[in-house]
Amino acid sequence: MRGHAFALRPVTTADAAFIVDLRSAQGLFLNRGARSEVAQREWIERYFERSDDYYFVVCRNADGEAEGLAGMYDVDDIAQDAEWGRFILRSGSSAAVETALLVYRCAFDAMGLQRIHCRTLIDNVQVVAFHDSCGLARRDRPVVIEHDGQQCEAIEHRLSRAGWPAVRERLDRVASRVAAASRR
Amino acid sequence: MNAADLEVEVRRLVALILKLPADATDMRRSDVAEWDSLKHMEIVFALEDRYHVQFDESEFAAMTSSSAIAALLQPRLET
Repeated sequence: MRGHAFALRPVTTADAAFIVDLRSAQGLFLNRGARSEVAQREWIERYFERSDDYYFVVCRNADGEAEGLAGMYDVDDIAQDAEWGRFILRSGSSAAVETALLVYRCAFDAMGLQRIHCRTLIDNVQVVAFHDSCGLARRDRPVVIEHDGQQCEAIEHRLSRAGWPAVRERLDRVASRVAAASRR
Repeated sequence: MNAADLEVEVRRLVALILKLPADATDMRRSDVAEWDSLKHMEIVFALEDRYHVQFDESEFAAMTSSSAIAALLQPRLET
């Protein structure tokens, strides 16, 4: 899935070291996950067996350099719903807006889902604000999710197919200007 | 425009986009929950439009506060 300046490509076992490094350096609000390249490779091998899980590397169109990670999982073909997350970018990356745009394009345009949701730890205030700013609807009450073995409160945001065009327009406008700046 | 006036203007613009009251002191991205990744880009592009300047993508991450933004902006307005 290719955007203005960034693209999503499927994770491979060759990305194991990148995933461990990035999540170790930046992943305060993510589940700790695999702590070694070997364990991450094994996780990716198991991930390949799951048909309801899509894990992407966010990379630059210009040179293919990896910028971050995002995933879409618990894809429910009956309910036509999925969750997205595992969202992490290298420090200082400007790929956040286009990553969200590409995930939603994947969900609605490529996979034909009816809705998508994400759950963000309540203390991760700038990511909660990001989803608000993108135009997603918040569930009225926090949900409880498991984070590194502990029950934690999270904010759930939802986007329906009906709401997608307005969000697409908002995100695409910003992503196209980020791409123009990246070409300067 | 002198540096102090520019900093006040930048602070007002940042506050406007974040829908917050303009602070009398420096606004730091790390301290303002509303200053998320989308709003950050909207701030950058509002500055570009307001002052008829262009920033490189490599400069986006350095815009960590209203004062840092003003410091990046000032030399462009002097040329």
